[in-house]
Amino acid sequence: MIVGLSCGMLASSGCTMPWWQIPELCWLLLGTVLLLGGCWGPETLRSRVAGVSAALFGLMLVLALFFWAPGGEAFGGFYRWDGLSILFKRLFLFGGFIASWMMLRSPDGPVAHRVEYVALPWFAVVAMGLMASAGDFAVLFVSLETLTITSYILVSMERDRGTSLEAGVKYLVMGGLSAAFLVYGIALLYGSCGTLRFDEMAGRLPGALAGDMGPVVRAGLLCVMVAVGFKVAAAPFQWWAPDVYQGAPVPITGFLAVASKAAGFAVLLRLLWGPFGGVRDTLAPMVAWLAAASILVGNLGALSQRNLKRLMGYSGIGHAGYLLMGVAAGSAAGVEAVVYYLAGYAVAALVVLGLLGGLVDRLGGAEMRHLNGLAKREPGLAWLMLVGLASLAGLPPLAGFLGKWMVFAAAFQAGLAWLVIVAGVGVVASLYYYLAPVRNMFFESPPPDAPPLELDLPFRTCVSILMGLAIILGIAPGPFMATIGRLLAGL
Amino acid sequence: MSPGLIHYLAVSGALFLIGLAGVIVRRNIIVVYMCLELMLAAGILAMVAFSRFLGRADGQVFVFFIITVAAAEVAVGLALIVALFRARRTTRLDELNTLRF
Repeated sequence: MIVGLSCGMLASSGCTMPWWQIPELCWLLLGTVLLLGGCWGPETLRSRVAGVSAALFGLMLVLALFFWAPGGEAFGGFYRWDGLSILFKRLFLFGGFIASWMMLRSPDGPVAHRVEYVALPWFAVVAMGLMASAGDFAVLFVSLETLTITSYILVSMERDRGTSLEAGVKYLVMGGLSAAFLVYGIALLYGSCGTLRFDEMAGRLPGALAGDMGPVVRAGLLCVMVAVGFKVAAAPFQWWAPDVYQGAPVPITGFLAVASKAAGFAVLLRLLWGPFGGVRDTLAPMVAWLAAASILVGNLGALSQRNLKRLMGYSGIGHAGYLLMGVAAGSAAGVEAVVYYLAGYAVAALVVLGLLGGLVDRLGGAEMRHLNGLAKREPGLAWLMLVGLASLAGLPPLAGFLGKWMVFAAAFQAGLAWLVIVAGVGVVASLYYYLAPVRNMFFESPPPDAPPLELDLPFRTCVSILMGLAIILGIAPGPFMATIGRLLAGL
Repeated sequence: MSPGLIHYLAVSGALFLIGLAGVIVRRNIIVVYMCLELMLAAGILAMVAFSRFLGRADGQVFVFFIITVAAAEVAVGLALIVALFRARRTTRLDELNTLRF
């Protein structure tokens, strides 16, 4: 029945789709079943809940990759089923799959098999899916907050480790601030346009901006952009990201870095190519400045970091900056570049964080010095890590290189040459800090009493496949770009 | 003179700024959290006022969603703050400094 629910998509190509064909409903059901089954179900399920969750994420991802076709809307336009939402939903499922795989394999102490730790990513993915499909500010707000509240719990899951709780509280303050800005911005836009619906607002916003309500519209747009800036961790709203990335359990760091960031960009694209479409030229300079600030703050801040999770936090800010460049370009090529970049970033970041998650207990921590001599202890893993870091740094022929190339080209064509120069500075800085762990791995000697690093075969396979994806996306992006182009054709 | 839209908006703007100032200035997590709720209340007030003066009901309905979400957020947030207090014996933001360089 569950398979039937999400495969029902096959039939829908008309204007409306029946509400029961919405895949989020199926995911919500699965998450609830996992949660309840993990609490009160038979012992066989309770001990394997993490594995069941990972398998179901994998199944859903396969369905999403091979059976979904765009077209239609549900709930009278509140829910949009278009190419943009499909692309992003695949990315969210991918993030959820890898995160639950990491939960399954990483010996993350007592929380690894807590049922809510396993079930909450499902609700987060439901919320992200609704964000990407939102056709109304009410849907956007409720789904965004559902994601945020779920993330608070996931970040602070390791309650006996003080840093986890501290990260959770810092995330809580930032999330509350972002929610307040979002509500206020929506209220101002609602007041000046008289509607909460995206399609109606798209028609009324340019007129409202030019009329008496101009200042109110400007303030509203500013507040909404601030809220989205918090969500994607763009400077100057970035201060929470390094703390949260460092404090959260490693699988959750990966989940936030990949899926949550993608969800923020889904909202940004949805807004700028939806209700804010008519005023995009007004907002583009602001997005460009956010991009420049994020690139500088993220890449320069990462230079002095000694903790790999914190480093990923800072470099994530920098990557948000590169992604914002593609958004600021305001062209179809820019949007395609953003989606490609997100996929390439997801793969590479999950290679690094996945390996870290599998090894962190054996290594004794996530500091750079804990990686000392990894190449002598486990050459294969060290090379995997090297490829992941090289792709993040943007070295050819990996996915990170091509992503940066496309984003830079889109920005250059849009006349943002100054931004490309700033980004060049960021790339040079990033080479330094991405290669620092490589020095630790290959040129330092391992600690004398290092225990053997036991990492089981399925985990190695999973990370190797991710690395393979990073290479394939970089060398042969043709089919992938064709899919992106086809799904974004009507944007 | 009966209050018009501009008066409601002035109160709401003041509430928002007071809340924002509190979030920036105050160091006690509970007070910061109260200030965040104040900012949310400012948004809700603006929403209701606009809804009333536009003569549309959808804004008022949206406010119920905001209140529900805010309640959920408070439930999780206070639980986190209590857990943090048990672990650290503090509710001051500037003492949360293990996650620094």
